[in-house]
Amino acid sequence: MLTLLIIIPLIGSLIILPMAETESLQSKNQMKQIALTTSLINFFISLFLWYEFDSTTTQFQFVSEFNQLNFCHLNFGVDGISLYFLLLTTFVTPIALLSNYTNITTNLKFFLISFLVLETLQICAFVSLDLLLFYIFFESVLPILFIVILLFGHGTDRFRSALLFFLYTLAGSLPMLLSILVIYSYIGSTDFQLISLYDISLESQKLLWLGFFIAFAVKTPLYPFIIWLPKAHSDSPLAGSILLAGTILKLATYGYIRVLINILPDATNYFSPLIQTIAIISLIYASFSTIIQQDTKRLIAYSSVAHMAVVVLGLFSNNLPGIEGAILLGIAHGFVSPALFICVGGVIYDRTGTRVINYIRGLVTYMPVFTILFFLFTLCNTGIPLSLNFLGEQLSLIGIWQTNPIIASLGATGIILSACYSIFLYNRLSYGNLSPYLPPLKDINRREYFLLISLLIPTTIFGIFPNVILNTLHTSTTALLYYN
Amino acid sequence: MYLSIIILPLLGSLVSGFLGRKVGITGSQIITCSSLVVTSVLISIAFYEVGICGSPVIIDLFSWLDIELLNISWCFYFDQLTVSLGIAVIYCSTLIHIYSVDYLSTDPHNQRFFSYLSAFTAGMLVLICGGNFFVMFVGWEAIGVVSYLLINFYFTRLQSNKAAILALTMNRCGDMLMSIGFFAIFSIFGSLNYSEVFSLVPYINENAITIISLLLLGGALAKSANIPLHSWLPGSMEAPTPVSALLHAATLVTAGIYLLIRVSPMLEFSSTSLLIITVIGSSTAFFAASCGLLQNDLKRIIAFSTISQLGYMMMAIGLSQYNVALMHTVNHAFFKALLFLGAGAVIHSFADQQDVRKMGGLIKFLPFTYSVMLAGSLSLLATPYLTGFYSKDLILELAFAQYSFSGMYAYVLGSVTAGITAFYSFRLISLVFLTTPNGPKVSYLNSHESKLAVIIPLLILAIFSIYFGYIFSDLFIGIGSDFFKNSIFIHPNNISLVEAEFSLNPFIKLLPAILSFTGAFSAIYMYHLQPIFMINITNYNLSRKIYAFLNGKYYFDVIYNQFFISAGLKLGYTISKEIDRGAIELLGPYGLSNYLYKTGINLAKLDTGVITTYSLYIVLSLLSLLVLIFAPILLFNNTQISENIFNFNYFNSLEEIRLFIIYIISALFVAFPSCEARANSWTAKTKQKANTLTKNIKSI
Repeated sequence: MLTLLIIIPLIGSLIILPMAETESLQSKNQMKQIALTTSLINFFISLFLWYEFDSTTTQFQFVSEFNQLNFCHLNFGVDGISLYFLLLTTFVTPIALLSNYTNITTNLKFFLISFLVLETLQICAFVSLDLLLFYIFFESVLPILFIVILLFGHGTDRFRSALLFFLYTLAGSLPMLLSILVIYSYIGSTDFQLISLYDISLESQKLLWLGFFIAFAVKTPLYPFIIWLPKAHSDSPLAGSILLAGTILKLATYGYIRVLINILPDATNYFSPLIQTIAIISLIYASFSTIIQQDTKRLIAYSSVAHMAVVVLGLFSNNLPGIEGAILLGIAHGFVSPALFICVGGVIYDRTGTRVINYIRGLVTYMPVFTILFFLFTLCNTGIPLSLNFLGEQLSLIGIWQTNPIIASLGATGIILSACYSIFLYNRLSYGNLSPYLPPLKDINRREYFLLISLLIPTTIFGIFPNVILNTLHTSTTALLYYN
Repeated sequence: MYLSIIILPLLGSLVSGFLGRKVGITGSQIITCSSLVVTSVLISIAFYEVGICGSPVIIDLFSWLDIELLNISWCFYFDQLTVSLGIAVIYCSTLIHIYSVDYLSTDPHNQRFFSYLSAFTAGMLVLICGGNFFVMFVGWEAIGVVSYLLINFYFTRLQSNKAAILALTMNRCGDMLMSIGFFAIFSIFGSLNYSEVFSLVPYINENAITIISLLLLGGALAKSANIPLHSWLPGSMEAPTPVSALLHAATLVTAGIYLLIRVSPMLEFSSTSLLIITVIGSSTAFFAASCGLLQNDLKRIIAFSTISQLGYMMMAIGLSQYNVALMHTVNHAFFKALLFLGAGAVIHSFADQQDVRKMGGLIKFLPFTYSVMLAGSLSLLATPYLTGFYSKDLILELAFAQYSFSGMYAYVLGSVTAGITAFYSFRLISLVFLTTPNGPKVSYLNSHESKLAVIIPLLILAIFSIYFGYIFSDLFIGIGSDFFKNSIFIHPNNISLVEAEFSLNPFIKLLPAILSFTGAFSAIYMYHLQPIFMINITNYNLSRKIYAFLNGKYYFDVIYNQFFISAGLKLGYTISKEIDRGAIELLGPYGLSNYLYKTGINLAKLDTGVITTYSLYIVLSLLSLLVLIFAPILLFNNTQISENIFNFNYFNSLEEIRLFIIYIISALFVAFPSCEARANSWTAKTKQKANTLTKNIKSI
């Protein structure tokens, strides 16, 4: 079934590839529909996979091996943790495609193909059971997203943003490659299951850990490697932002769990004060710089940094509520952050042509339905109860409290600061007198409405019934705990 | 039946909010009001079953979270505490819904308003019915959000926006502390359910209990608008008056009090936190009353009165008389809702004027409103045998009966506050109703008593604020009443009710009442009978300063704006500009690319096209190569022969330093290109400039 998931987007892009991109609306619609259908088929298959998933075992499931390819150990499998990242990917891709459904006119074919290929690559990264393959797929997302930002981005600054994004992530992951090579030379294999059986000495674990950590810290992003994210977000097209916030940042979250905690547990334990400190710095710094941002997309990008810092805190809390809370918050962030990007970068930007907060005021007068949805997502972003974000945040901090109460107290400042910047953004855009300099605005159309509502429903449903997710997480996450 | 108490308001809210266009204004009014009326019938039955018959109900719906020890379910408790507060919440909600039908009849956003109002009721009910801290927190946040929306109801007004943001963020400060409290509770008790936590409290270290209590107190301070997190409440008066009555007087602000009463088994084991609560409560009572003394906005006066009364409740909790605090909460809900609704009626009939200085003489035009507001005010200042008397007076007696420092502090401040309360209440009455008319004539001509939908709630609330205390005081706070059973825990050491009732000096008991009457009469005297005195007093500099200080609310807002908010923004600016866009850029991408670029330019500059420079490079390279080749030999010679540092050979090899000197000097030539080269490059540049100039001239 995993093979299907990986191949279907490729098949979709192969179908689109020979189609001639003419000016006619019909051919464009056809291409879009093919891409969308492909990604939706993938989503339903992944739902079926979720249904078939056996939550009582820690083993990898749906394993498919390709031993015919002998340059590396190409095998795929899913456990409780990667399942949700996989689902998030298949869920976010159709949303990303739909979000730029109407406003991409040139190079449409390339746009659709690149997003379908991105889906395949991300799924591969989440399900590959080989460290080297994980690295390859982790990196392979870069060039495509780089070109997407270059081709479809906004503004003249996009060249620099794309370059920053590319170079930061590439440079960050070089130490990871070195670490992988070292592991390979130690153990003679890069298979996850095999490596996790080996006992690597603490001294070498420390070095390896740092190598991996830099790669993931750049991708998360943690201070001081954050500046590529706001730039990439503000200059990339909406679909790129959605994908970046929804899933590509989660590659790092997944990497922390799969590599750092799972393979290098002693070093993780040794370095956990360090990473907690960095996460707290990221959280507080990013929250404070979020408050004064003037660009709506930058603001949400910075708030992503703050939320991902809480995820990192939870992951390195070394207890079950913390780790599961971090995964929940990761998933929740994958719903809410894209939704906010659709709100400010899609709905508002399409209508007003600006992302500067000061130019927009009083949207509620013309766009009441949009404002309701925007408000709900803003609340979710602040971590209001009944949303998945609340559970994720609270559980992560409950977890980290058991490890270090002071860190947890500092982490809880995010509760105030997230309310400050989110509500400021919402209040500034939606309320007040309607700005006379705005063009006449239409309320959201059917496409945008369904986009937002389809992100809102899982956030609230999982916020009320998180056990649906947690039941499948328990066995896999229990294996991550470190007993010293 | 019990669940429908929570669900009915929620359904009303959803129908009114999402189907508002279908059901119309009247439809949404009928739906929300009727669901609230049904709910109030149900809560009356619940009060009979749970409260009077003494059979608490626990409804465990389904599991919410199930991780390791952390086992939280959607669980609702209906015990005596819940239903007693539920009565106040739902009765006030229902009456205010009915009141709003007329009050907002001219507003275009009726459906939205009723939806918010019902949503608030539902949130409040989830809060008081929640069976564990997380479910309680759902209601806690829900009422915070609805409060934001209701303060922002007139969303085009900047003042509303500011007040709403302030209310939300300030409440969030409390929420943060409360969340930290939850983390601590979970790590110490291993559970977040009331029943498990409270049964374990006696076995836990007192310091841990104190920390948890103080963290929960932080949440309560924000919600219940006590010092230092009070400053959102006066601002929230931007909301429509029914909202002020329901949220910011009767129910929302009592959420913090409810929380503290709920965690009474925890507070009782931490004398430190009880002391702190008493001190904060009595300080708040005094502070807010003195602020209310000289406010000019009709609603703000009542808002400060609310803060002051919340201080009393907090004080009662600190004295560990939770049942008295609850009684005062319920009583206060009735008479403060009455005062607000009365004020709303006045404002509505008097051309939306809120400044008490521009009113006066309305007793002739609004006799009914005057009577109910008088009843409310008398109840507020604890006139004997009215509702407020039974709880407020008792709190002060209990404070004295503690015979402790905190008790004495509470008693003194509370008694003085009682006097001030009476003063500002009657200042309001005399300025609005009694003195000579100060408003424009048109307003008087158009002023009229309100419609039946307003009069009925006012009448019912007036009856409650006169008789409720008389009827229910023995049930709630009577000696030997076991009404609350296990829902409230008072440590046997802290019971001082017998002491307060039977052994106090009559003067001590009467002092608050005497001060109240003095305050009331002096207000009428100063503002109604001898207003010249008050006018004369403004001639003094000192009195003007005192006026500014009290009217400016002790400058709390100034301090917050100056130090916290602007400092936070400045910090954000610094981080964003000097770290993100500064240091990290300089050390990271910008600095690196700039450095590489500059190095490239410098290298390119070496390419001068002059043959002598090239010959210099050739010589330099040759020398470098020589050095590289011969260095090992020189060094080798040294190490081999130099047994003695003054060895001849050593010096001999040192002579080869000439080579290095030549190398360095020629390197200097490269770094500072020769004059000729510079001249060359300069002439090239000037030639270019001249070319462009001539081109420009030609094009012209």
